[in-house]
Amino acid sequence: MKVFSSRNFNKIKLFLLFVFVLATLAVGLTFWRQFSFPDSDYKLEKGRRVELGGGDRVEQVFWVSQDGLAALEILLSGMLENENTKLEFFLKDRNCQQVLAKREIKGKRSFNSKYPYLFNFPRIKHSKNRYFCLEIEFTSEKSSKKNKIRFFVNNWFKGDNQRDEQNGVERKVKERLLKPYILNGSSEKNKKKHSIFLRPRYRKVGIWRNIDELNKRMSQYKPWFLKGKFLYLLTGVMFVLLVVEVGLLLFL
Amino acid sequence: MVIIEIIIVFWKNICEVFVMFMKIGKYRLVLVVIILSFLTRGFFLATVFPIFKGQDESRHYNTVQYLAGADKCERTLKNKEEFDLYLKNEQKKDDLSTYRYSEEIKATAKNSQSTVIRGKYYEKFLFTDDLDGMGEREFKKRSFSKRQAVCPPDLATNFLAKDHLGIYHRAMAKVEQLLGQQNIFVRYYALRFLSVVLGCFILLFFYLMFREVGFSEKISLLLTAIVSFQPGFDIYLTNINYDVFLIFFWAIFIWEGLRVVKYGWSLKRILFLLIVGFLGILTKPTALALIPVFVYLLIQTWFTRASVKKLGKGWILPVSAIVLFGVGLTFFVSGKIGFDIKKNFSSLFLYLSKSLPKIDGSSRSYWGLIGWGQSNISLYFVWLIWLLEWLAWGGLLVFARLVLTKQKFSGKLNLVKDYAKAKWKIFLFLLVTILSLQVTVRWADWRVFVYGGKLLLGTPGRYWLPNMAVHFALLALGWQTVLLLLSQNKSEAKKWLEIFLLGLFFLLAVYWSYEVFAVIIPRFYF
Repeated sequence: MKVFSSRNFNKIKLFLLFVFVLATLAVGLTFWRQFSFPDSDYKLEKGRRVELGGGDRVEQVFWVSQDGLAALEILLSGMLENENTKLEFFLKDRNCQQVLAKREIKGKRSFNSKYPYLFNFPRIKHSKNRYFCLEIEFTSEKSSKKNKIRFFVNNWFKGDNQRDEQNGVERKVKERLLKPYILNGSSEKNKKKHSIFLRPRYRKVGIWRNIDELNKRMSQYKPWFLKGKFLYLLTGVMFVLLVVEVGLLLFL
Repeated sequence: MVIIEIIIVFWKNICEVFVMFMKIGKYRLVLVVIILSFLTRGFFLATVFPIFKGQDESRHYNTVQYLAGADKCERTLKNKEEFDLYLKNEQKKDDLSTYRYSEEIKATAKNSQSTVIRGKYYEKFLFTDDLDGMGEREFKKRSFSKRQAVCPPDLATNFLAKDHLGIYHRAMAKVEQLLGQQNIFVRYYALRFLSVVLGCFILLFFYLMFREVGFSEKISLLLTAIVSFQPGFDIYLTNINYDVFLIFFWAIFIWEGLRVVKYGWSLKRILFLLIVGFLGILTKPTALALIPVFVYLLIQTWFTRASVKKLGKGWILPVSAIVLFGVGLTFFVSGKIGFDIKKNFSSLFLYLSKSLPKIDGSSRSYWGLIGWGQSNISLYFVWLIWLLEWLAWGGLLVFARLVLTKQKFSGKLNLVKDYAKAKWKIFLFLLVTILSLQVTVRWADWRVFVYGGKLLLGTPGRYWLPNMAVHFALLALGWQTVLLLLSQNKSEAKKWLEIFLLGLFFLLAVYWSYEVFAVIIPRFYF
């Protein structure tokens, strides 16, 4: 029986190229989804752990220092056990009333607090010097030990004019980046003594400005020949050679 | 006179490589593009990784600085108690500025926020809105002492080299001295770039190895391109690390070894293998694994010359001889460094029971899985590669079975048998190389296990990188066997192998892109 035939070799090559292009685009998309820059004034840490059970809702008001708010990083752990459990993230105005963005996670899913969860939403053009509200709502039919979501809190809201001595770099931490979080309700009695660990991320307008920002970041703590334009040149030559290599191997 | 002769032999062989390169026909341009592409990707990756991020890179660079400096710090433990106290109280795991390094490295670690690279995934650098980092401009204007801050210094040693410091660090120390007037970032990244340049020569030797195995120019080029995109290999060759030298000498040794298998011995080849092997050992003790390979070559050639193949299963004798030699060598080296194998033999099984179940982790890191971030996509790439790898090992089982049986076949099986018989000696040589490295690394790991009482060293994938091309050559033999079984004739199978390798090249290229753009860059810069 003829299993393999030599016919259509070129068609197969083109098919492989097509799959390759699609996969490369998917990589590009994954890259773009993460393409936002964390606010250096916010520090993520695993502080005290707080559990959310079925039906719990938590609100956290936070300060944004730049325009172009595009995502929030939140440290979460725990899992959604089945199809009937749901975790919803809302970005709201400072009064936690008007919904600006929403993300829903439904069904079986676990969260590893080693890596922050990224709540992406469409870029908010004018976000500088404004307060926003993050609301997390956990819906679950049954309550079990496993079926819990945990987040981490700290006492940053107390820390007016803190100084961060980490790595010998001294920087002024802005006053009241985060307000105390509120669990299940809006009255004063539900106000807690801590704030949820989260970190805003920003995106600039247009792809080139973002790439320029990335270039700046990659240039830092590098020698002169790997900064700015030189880095652009290196990256450009790398991509050209990649395309040439693929082309040559394809038509070998 | 002997030294001059050795230099002449070495030079002649290097010239031969260039002549071979010039003889590469119409595909020379493709090889040049593959190597240039690797070079620019290597430079890019070297840039993406922040200073000191590579595996033990800070220690290797400290060793380079130690050798480059005139002021040698005392290396013996004068006051062990005080030293232990320092390790316990002063040295913090995540903070390189507390390590026993030079003043300059400690200051650089502090200035460049190196705790971030050793810290948790979500810890990020504090960036400025400029091309220079926080305090970078002022830092570069200052000068720091390269003297070791704490004695004894933290160095990457080689117990077989002079003063226990290998030739990689000595060579890089010369470059460090040459660039002495430049700031640390220029010197550091220049050394990283040198690793990448050396990587280009390694790729060239890989290509020549594939040719010596008997693959066509096209297939050899595809295999070289695939290896150049293997993320584990690519990332490692952007580091300041003596493994770069080790892999370089290893590649030359195997290439010459294949020529011995194919064309037989000559004095020139013996000398060349000895020199390269010796340089490898002076770089890192792992190259001791080349000694059994060398002895295997001698035994195999002798048996071939003596027409032992007429004995039918004559291969058993050389293989048994090499096993006996390997055991003897292990005992000898162990005795030299005071490791009593007999006394500790009972722990071998405990070690193997703890170490072997971790083989999948070792393989994952060998294939370049970084494992940062929540997503499992990198893991899916590795699973796919494993699947293809198992297909090849299946092919190699058929390959070996057909050679070892006396049974006569017709049709396709006969075709495969002829192919396997033609490649049998090469197959054995490649297999011995793989086994020799495996045994050597596991022996070292076992030794550390005995002293530490637990798996301290482990067998991370990077330890197997010297055999990257050998591994791919074996896999390609396996895939070719499977395709011979499935195709109508030899030329069609060859064409299918080309298509298959093109697909594998695309797979590795996408995997590489994913690792760099969706995993590594976001870790440090997003």
